Amino acid sequence: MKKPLLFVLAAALSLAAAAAASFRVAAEEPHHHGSEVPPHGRWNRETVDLFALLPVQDGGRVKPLHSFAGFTLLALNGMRSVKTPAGDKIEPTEWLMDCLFFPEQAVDYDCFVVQTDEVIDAAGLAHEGKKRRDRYSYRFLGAARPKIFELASRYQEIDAKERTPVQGQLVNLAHNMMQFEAVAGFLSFLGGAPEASISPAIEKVFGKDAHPTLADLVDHAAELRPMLGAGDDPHGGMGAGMGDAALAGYVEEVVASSRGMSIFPPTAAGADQADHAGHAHAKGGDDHAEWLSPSELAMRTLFRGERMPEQAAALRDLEAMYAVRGDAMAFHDKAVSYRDRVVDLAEARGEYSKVPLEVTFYKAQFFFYAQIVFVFAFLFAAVSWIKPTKALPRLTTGAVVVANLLLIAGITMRCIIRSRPPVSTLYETILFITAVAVIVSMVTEYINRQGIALTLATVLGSAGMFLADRYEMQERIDTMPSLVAVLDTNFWLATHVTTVTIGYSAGLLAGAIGHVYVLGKVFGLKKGDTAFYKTLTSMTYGTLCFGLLFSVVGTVLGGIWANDSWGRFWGWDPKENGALAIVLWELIVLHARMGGFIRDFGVAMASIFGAAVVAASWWGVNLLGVGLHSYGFTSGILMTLLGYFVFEGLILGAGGIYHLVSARAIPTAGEPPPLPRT
Amino acid sequence: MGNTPDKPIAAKVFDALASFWLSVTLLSFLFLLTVLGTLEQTQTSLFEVQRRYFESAFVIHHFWGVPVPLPGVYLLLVLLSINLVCGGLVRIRKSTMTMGVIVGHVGIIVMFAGSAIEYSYSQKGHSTLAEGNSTDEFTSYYEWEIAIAEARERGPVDELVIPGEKIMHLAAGARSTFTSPDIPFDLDVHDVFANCAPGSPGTDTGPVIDGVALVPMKRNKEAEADRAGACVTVRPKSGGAPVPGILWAGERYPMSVEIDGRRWTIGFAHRRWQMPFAIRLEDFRQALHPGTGMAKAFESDVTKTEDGVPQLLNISMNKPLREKGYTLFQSGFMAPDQGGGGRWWSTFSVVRNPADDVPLWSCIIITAGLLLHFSQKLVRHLRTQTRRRS
Repeated sequence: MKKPLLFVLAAALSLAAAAAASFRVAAEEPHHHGSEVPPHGRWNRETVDLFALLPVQDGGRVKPLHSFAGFTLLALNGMRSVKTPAGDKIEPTEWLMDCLFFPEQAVDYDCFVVQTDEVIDAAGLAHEGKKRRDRYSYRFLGAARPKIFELASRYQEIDAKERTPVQGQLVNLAHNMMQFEAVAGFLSFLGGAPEASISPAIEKVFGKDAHPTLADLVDHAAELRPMLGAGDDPHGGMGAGMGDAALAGYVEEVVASSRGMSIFPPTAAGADQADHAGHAHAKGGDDHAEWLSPSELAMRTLFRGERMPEQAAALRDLEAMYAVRGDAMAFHDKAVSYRDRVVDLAEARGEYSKVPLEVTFYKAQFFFYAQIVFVFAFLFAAVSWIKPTKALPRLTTGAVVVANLLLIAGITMRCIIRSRPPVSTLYETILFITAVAVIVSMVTEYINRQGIALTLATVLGSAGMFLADRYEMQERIDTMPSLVAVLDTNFWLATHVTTVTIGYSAGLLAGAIGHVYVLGKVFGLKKGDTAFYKTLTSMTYGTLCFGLLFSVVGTVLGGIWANDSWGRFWGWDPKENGALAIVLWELIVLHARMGGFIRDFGVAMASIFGAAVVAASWWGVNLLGVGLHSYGFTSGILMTLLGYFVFEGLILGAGGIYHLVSARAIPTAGEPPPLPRT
Repeated sequence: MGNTPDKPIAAKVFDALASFWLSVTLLSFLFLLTVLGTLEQTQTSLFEVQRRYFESAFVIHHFWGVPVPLPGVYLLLVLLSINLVCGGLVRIRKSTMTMGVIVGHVGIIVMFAGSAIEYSYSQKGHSTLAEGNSTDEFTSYYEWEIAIAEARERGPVDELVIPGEKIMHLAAGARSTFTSPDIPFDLDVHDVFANCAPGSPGTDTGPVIDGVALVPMKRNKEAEADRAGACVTVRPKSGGAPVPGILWAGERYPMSVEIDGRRWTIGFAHRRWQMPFAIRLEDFRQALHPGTGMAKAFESDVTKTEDGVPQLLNISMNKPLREKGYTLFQSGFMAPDQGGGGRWWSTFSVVRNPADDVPLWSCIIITAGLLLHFSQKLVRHLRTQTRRRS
């Protein structure tokens, strides 16, 4: 893993260096190519909404600019908003628009979150008045750019696991600065050819004192190609031959600075060579499936001699937009024209239909609101235990139902957007497991009607949504990524993955009920209320049975999938073993109970341990970094997971001490004899 | 347990074998071994972990450096099968309420049986082909063989094969002699190393032959990268002088000896098996997610030829080719500019598993059993709750 990563990072660094060169000039000397533009305030709402819906191809899929901006800002800032120096809190799309059209302003936004000021110290910058964890602007960090990049490239050589936190953060910071430079310098070429680029070739084609834009060059590609030295080789690139050095230098600058975003859809005629989802389908890449950045448009028209009139027209719209960026009304009009053109192109390829839905999904913030409502439900439940009333359980139930419906609505929309079953990434397992755990809790509550499962639904719902949020914030990458080849099967994702994650849900719920039992005993709650603890046991047992069914079937289905994909049913891979461990543990608990080796208290304790086994299988094996399930590998959750294990260890320890002490005292009332064997 | 002193020994043994106590103990050890074997994979190759933990009767696990003997998964599964049959099928009370449990147990037995068949009789390997090439063989990832053949200029060659399981246990000092009426010599095989390389003689190396010895090396984390080797002595049956030699899997050409005027080759390589049909790679394609280097799919167009009849077929990820008990999976590729020598190569995992469908059937049976049992339990519980409320 290390070498390819290093290679990619090194390549990215070298590419970004070229892009950054032009961007940094722009940041220091605003608009060196264009006319002076008055200071920019806020964009009007309509224009921001229009931009949010623009399609862009990124990470192997077509997504709205809103999503691209959201995850880019999340990566840099650790949140999906940023504060401007004027004190306005702006959304990702507006931030991206500022970066694209007013980079000289965007460089002053504190959009780089730095986890510890030791990173700033290492960069040799002063940070008086800042907190230990704080946010900084590009202008501030840019002063130490060479130092930051030098340190980052040195620390990249160290294995990620061996880096100190400061070293790791410096590498991240350099990466984030590169990302910022890629978007903030993306349109720096739009002011037209600078004076230094005016050459005999340009004068010959465009006349004396002309400052042709990239769109002009693309329009005259046929005349310019010989002057650029591009031969007849359709794959020829820069340097294919000797030509006009000044012109070539300008084109090279454009090519270097504008490769960060693929914004022009290829003409639909090529789509027949891509499959329906727009995936490249050839030996290596495929020009017909890949969208174009201005950089690629320049390469393919000027050097490869391809004709791309629709994309050139979209480029001209972009230039027109850029030219009037200081005039909100005119800018909006030009933006509409650009939007219409690229959306038409994308629609003709069948690649736009889900873009508006994705914007709706992110703007609706289903999971955020679900979290809030779950927390309220938890508060209602807590109050109802302290001061029981008739209304509170109903209110709690209503809140749980609303919260889970929000969660399910969000999951469903994701399924539609991705054309996938509910679970295909680690992030989605959290959402799905939470939803299922809440549903099973509510069914359990319906059966037993004690208020216990209802309360647990609020706890699991809140915890699940909190975990999903933290995971997204920590990973800071698109949560709807393209899938690796082996996962590209909706049948197995719908059967094995959903089944096994339902098993996880049940295991966690059984553990949660176990906590209530053990903590209730330890703290002497409902002392002497045999029925209460009897109900808890029956709930735990039922949930374990439910969990066993899904865990066994899910695990075997996983084996059958592996048999179809890799040619073996069982390979003792860590992820497979994790699933097997859950099955084995649940079998141990159920058989030990039937054999009379453990009773109610033992079942509760065992189910708590079982929840830890589920956590180890769900998250722990992904940390090992070995096995065939490499697409699920993750990092950065070790401490959280260890914290959880310690927490469960303490509860089990407390339970164990309680059991020893109470066993010495008197026989426990309410501990029924073991069940008769079947 | 209900055992009484006057019970016959056989009944006591049966009770013990059918007991919950044994079930829980075996399941607990299985759980422990699963966890330990998983963690061990961060240190050792999966192949080695499988061999030591999951395919063995006993294993020595080091807990913080302290060696602790434990039962291996192989032994545990054998005992669990016995326990399952005795307790879960024979001794269990037969009633409508236990029918689901019995069915579920049957499903598990079927799965164990399938696994045993696969473990004992399956052949697993790969066929790697460049576009335009064809083969009717596949090669093991881990197993070895010594192949003896008479060197001929042209035409088919009959090979005499010594399978790996007969030689890989021959550590330093141990030797085994192989003989056959089809060849004019006996072959002594000794000093076999699972991973080694020819090098300068040392204290732990094999015998020195022509100034070279096999130097044992640490096993690779990816066991298929190991290069095994062995020392051999060719003893002509006609009484000529014995010819010592070194066989090494990393060697491009086999050892060559002349016996009684005929030239023979002796090669050491991964074990090969023959398929009842040949495949020719016509075209390989990889699909990338656009704008990324991430593979979305791999697929190969192949021509399968059996009894002279060609058939064009497609093999892709998650869509293997199943034919005559053999299954061919798309498992890898090599690009022309990444070592493919100007051509695309496609690698197919090839498996011959007589119990290929058993997991599916066991899954159906287990699901049916558990669904039946837990549904009955749920209905009974709901009835109790309703009665209690009323």
